[in-house]
Amino acid sequence: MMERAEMISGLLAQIPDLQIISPLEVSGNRVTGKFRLEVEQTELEFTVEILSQYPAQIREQETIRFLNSDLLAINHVNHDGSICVHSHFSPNLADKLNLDINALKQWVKRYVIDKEQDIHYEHIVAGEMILGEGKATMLFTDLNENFEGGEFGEISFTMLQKAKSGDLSMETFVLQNLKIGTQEIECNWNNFTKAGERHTGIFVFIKEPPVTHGRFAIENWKDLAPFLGQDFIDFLVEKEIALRGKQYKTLQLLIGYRIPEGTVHWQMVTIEKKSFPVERIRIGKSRQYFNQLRSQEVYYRSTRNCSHRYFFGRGALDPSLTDKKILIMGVGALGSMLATGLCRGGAKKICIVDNDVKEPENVCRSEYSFYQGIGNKVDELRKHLYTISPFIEVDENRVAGDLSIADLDKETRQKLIDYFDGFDLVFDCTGDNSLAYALQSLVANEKLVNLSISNGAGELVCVSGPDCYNWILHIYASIGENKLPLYEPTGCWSATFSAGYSDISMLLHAALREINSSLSLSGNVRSFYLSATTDADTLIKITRF
Amino acid sequence: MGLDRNKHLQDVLTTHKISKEQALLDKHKAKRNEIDEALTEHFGLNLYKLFNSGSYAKNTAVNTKFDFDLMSPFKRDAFSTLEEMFNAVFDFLNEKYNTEAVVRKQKVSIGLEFFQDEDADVVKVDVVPGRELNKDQYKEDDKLNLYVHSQFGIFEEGSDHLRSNVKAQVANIRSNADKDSLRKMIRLMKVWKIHNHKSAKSFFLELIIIKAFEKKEVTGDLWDKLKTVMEYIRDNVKTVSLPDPGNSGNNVADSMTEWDKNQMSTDMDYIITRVEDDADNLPMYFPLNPKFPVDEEKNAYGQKSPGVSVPPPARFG
Repeated sequence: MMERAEMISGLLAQIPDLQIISPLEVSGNRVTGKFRLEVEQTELEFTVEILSQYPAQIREQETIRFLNSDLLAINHVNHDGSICVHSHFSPNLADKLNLDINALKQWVKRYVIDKEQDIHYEHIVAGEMILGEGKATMLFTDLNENFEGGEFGEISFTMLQKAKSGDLSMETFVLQNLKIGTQEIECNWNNFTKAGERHTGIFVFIKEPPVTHGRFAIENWKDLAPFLGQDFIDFLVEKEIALRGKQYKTLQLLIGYRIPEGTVHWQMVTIEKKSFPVERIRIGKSRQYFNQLRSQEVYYRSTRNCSHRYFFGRGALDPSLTDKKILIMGVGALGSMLATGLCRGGAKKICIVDNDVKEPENVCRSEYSFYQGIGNKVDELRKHLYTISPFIEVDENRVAGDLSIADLDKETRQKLIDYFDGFDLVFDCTGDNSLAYALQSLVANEKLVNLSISNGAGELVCVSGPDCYNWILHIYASIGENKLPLYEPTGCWSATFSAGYSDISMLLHAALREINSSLSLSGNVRSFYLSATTDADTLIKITRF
Repeated sequence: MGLDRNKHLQDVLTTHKISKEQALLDKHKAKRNEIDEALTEHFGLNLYKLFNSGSYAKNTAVNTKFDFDLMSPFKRDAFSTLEEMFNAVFDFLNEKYNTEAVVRKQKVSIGLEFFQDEDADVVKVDVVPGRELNKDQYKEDDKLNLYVHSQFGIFEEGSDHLRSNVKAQVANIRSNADKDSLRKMIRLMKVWKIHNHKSAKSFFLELIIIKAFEKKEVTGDLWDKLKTVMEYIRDNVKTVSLPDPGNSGNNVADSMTEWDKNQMSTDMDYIITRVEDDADNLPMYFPLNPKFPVDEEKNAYGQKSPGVSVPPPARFG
């Protein structure tokens, strides 16, 4: 290790504008020292810590740290004074050192010299307290309330899961509602996410985030007093008294405040019954008391903003698709993948129609699981969609798929027209020609989208608009005869097409992308078909009509 | 062997000829005459002579969807406001016909849709009330102010009127040097519009096709001509200015949204590409009227009749 310290010293000494002021020494598995760095006549001193793994990263974390606790007020400085800099990876020690020192110089230039303010907001830096068995997180979403500051009251939340986070246990809670006096403000989750046993906690909404240096969460309850206000402190005392005889270990407190873009953010704090952070102080010898916060550590826990905007922030389908009320008829391979794709893309209202029962052999190429056993496809898919998105509302219907134009009397026909009229988009994923023919006279043509796939998943055909059935015939005729044998494991009664999950999903997701683009550009779905090719440089060919 | 595109387009025109629907045409003419007489009798000297406008008058009608437009030119003093004129015509027609037709206020007209008769035919006549700009001026310039009832392109409901010379609009096609080809192209594009439920207004289509004839050499056989017109629309629909021949201050291009224009350009692009790829795609965009099939001899080139005798494909979900 001494050799390594000397080698790093030598390399640092070669870097311009850098002067070592405390020689590098070995301490455990790291090398530490101090240097002075000059950037545009600004001189700053940093302690450097380099782990033995350097220049490799550990779990995507840098193994070099630069520290200066006098710079806490500057952006991108952690609570312990370490500067948050990242650079590209290099396996070469000298190169990596140069990269890291350059990154540090850039940080000095941007944030110390130019005093740059980031456009994007960084949440306040609060430790994540491990209590009892481990960690806890509260998931929250938008609340339809214009908080002004000073509001407080009770919250209710449910337990979503108990899982592991590394070696620790992790409890995930879901905020359900807030009570301000008699007013109850509900979170806009779907009904599935709202279900479950409710637990009670408390909240306070404050005007300013409870921080020092702009971003470090205040660590002592006593210092929180000016932020929380006396009314809330009195409420906290009342709560402690009310709960004194109750069996509980912890009480969850949400502290809410606005972040720069106007969004409400909530920080969770856990209060333990054994160390409730309030006390009543007698005023002199009088019978009067005043309430105050004790001097003790604040146990911050983590929270996640799961509002629709954040939940689907990394990538969503266009609102011209996700805001629609969507009906999917037939939830076999194509329909179940479509439903899942729409759900992951942010769709809000889906109704699924199928009278089929899921069999184990369906699992290999659809969105069903072995674990759920045999049962109605719509029931399993509904649950599956609910486990993905807390915003999707899923309705189901097992009989509307039994359509045949031949036996429709006038009244039934009108009922069906009215039923379909209740949707903005109707996907027919049944592959059923009879149904396709019936639907074109029951569904407004601009709402109807027919998706089907050829045997072997060579082509996926999407037809929308007027004259749907003839277009299907026409496109399949132009594709040509499919000579692949059907999959018939136990005779012709169970014949089905032959294709695997990746072949089908590749075409389905390409089709969903095209539909999404078509809707966002022109407001309607254009007919097309996709062909899986074996060309040298094309995986999928699209033919638009 | 692929489809003969020119022959098919000729058959499209033939099967969509308005004369194929002679009985329905006669019923329309009879109703139109009856309405003409009723309005003339009721409004008397306040009204100039009524005349036909719309696709029948321009000879650009197709038989899958046709109605008659009846222009009713009022004198300047007949009403103090255009709204009053519009409402008076509506009230009269509603009173007279509401037991045998649905009478409704439309954008610039009053629509009469007569209930199905014993042959299941439906007669539709649109009455378009207009008022001359100044006293006795109509005799000089044929110009009329129309009342705009609901949203019509850039005009909001009740907020404005539309000045137009409807006679000039009709004459615009009738007097065109290449009127025969022009009418064929307009009829074909109308077949496309009606069959594919496109939102473009017929008037818009007419004007942009006339513009294509002005700007391009529209020559060759029917497909060549149609392709040239569609290429013109594809390349220019988003930017073209289409002044109303009845009122140059009114740009008919404003009656289409940017979205609709983008879509129309893309439609033209794909139709051309697909038909050039495979002529069998042509009938999907420009179908024959199945009500009037061409005879077997003429159909010998093997075109599939839509929806019959084609084995359904093996499709899966």
